[in-house]
Amino acid sequence: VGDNQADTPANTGAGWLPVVRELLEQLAGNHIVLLPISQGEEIVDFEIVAASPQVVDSYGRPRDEMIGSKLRETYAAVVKGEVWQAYRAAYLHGRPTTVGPFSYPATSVEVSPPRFTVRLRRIGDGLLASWNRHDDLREPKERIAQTERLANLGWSERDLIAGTTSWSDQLYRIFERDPAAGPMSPEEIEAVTVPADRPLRRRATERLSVGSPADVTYRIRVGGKIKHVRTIADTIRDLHGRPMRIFGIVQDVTARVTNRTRLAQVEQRLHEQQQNLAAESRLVTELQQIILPIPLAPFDLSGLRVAVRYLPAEQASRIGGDWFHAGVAFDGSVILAVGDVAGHGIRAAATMAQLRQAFVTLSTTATSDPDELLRYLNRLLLADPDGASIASAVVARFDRASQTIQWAQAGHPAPLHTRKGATTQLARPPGTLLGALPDPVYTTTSFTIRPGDLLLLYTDGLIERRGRTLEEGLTPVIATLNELTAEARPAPLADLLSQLRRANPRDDTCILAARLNPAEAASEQMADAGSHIIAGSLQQT
Amino acid sequence: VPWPKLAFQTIRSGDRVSLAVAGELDLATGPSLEQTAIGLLREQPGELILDLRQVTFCDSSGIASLLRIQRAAKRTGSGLRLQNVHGLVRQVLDLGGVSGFLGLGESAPTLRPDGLPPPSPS
Repeated sequence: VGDNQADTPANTGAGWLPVVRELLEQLAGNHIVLLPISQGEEIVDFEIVAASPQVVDSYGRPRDEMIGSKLRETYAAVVKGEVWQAYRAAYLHGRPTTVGPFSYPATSVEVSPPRFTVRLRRIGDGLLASWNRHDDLREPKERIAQTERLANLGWSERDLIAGTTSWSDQLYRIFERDPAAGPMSPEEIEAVTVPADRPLRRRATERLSVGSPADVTYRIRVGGKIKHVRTIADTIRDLHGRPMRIFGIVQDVTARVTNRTRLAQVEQRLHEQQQNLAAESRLVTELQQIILPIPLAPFDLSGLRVAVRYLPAEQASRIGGDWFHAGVAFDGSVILAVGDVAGHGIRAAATMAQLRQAFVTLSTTATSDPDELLRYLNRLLLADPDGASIASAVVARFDRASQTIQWAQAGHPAPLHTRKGATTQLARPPGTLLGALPDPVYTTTSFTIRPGDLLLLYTDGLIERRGRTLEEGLTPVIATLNELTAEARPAPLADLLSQLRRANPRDDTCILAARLNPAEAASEQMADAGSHIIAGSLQQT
Repeated sequence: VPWPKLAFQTIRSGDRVSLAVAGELDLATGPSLEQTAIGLLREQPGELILDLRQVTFCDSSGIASLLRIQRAAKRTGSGLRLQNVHGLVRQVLDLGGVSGFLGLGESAPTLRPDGLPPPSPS
C-alpha cells in the first residue's frame, strides 16, 4: 500500500505508520489514515495514506483507489462544511471527535444520498477517520461472512441437550480441519492445545460450567505451526437455569500476538541499547577528562610553546582512543606525542589510558628517543593477552640547545611543518602500527625548527573522512596553516586551534601544535638579523 | 544513517579460495570479515586470497582485522594474499606500515637522506 507514493507525506519517515497499517489490516469496517498537507501554518488538505482492507468510500471506490487521494480534490463537497472543520480540529487539537450523521450531497443518480457518521482521532502525525454508512444495503449474511474472514473469527455452538456441535466455516479454517470431518470434540481440542496452555483452557471450561462467561487465549498446534486463539464463550440457559447451549466465538490472534511480542522485543532492545550507549558515552567522556585533561590555553615547555585541541567525534559513542602528551623528559628535552587507539568506546579509552601512562613513565625515567619510546609501546600492546589492540602514534623530541626536532612514527600520519606560509608534510621514516608486529623497525629522523615555524601533530580524524583520500583531507588543514603563517599574527597557535574546529563525525581528533617559545625565539633573533615578519610573530600568544 | 556494511562473495577454483570483499572495512564490519575469512581457512587450509577491489574504506581497525586474519592463517599453516589493493586502502596500509608485512611490497620510503622535509607542494 502506498509503495508507489515516492514523494507523498506517507513517506516522510513516520515510524508509526507501518504499525498502523498493520493494525488496519486486522480491522473490519471503514477506517482510513490521513496525513495533513500544510501550506505554511495552514492545513490545506489531507491525503489518504492507509486504509482498512474492506473500506469503500461514498463513491463506492475500494481501498486501492482511495490511497493517495486528497480529501479536497476527491471529496470537494466536504471541504467547506462542518465535516472539514471537524477534520481540521481533530487533527490540530488532538481531541477525538464524532461528526454526523450527515449526508454527502447526492453524487450520482442516487435517489437519497447516503448518510454517514465519522469518528476522528489523531494518531501519530496523522488522523484516523472511521465511519459507518447508515443505509448500508449490503447483504447482512455476506457481511457476517466477510467479517469472519477478515477478523479471522469463527464461532461454535454446542447443543447440550441434543449433544451436537456446529462450527462456522472460518472455525474449520482456524483449526485447519476438513469440514467433512465435522467439529472437533472437546478432547480433540485439548489434544491440539499446547500442553503448557491446557490448564488455562481447563480453568476456562470450569468457569463456564458454573455459569460465568469465559475469555481465554491459548496456543494450538495445527498444520505444523503454533497459533494463538482467543475464545470467548458463554452458556445459554433455560428458564430453570439449566444449561442448554454453549456459544463460543473463536478468533485467531496469532498475527496480533506475534506483532505485539515483536514490538515489545524491539522496544526492549532499543531501550537497552540506548541505556548502554548513553552510559558508555558518559563513562568514556568522564574517563577522558580524568586521563586526559586538555589545557585550555597555550603553555610553555622548556623553549617551546604548545597548544592542544581535542575535537570529539560528533557521535558520542565514537569517542575513545586519542591521546596526547607534552612534557619535559628526564634529560630536559621536550617530548610531544599524539596517538590513536583503533576502536571506540570504553575499550579503546582504557587502552589509551594504559599507553599514555606507560609513555609518560618511560619518557620521564627511561628514554627520550622517539623510536625507542615507540618500541616500548609496541611491546606493551603485544603483551596484551587479547592481542586485539592496535594503535598509531607519532613522537617528537625537541632539543633546546640544537633547536632540532627529532621524531619517529608508528603507522601514523606525518606531522605538518609550516614555514612562512608554506606547509609540508614531513617525510615519514619507516614505522609500523603499534601492536601489529613483534619486531618492527622504527627510525628517528630530525629537522631544525626556526622561529615562526609551526609544527602540527594530529590524529587522523583530522584528515580521514570517508569518501575522500588522505591528501584531500589534508588540503584544508594545510590551507589554514599557510594562511596563518603567511603574515605575522599575535597569537598564531590560538588562531590555529580556533580554525581547526570542525569535528569529524566518525572519529575524534587530537591536534597538538608547537612553535618556539616567543622569548626563546627573541634571543635567537638578536643574533639572526632576522626579518620583521618573524619578529612580528613574537608577540604574546 | 545506514549502518556500514560489508558484503562477501566466495569464489573457489581448484584448491584456491578467493574471498571478494565489498564495502567499508572498519570497527563495525571488521569482525564479520574475520569470521568469514577464518571460517574459510578452517574449512580449506592452503592459500586464501582476499580480493579488496570493492573495498571503499579502511581504517586502523580494518588493518587490525587483516592482521588477525593473517595471524590465524599462519597458525593453521595457511597463507593470506591480498589482491587488488588500491587507492585509499593501499594508502592506509602504507600509512600503518603493514603493506610489506601483508605481502604487498613496501612502498618506497620517502625519507630524504638528510631527514629534511621534501619541498613544499605549493
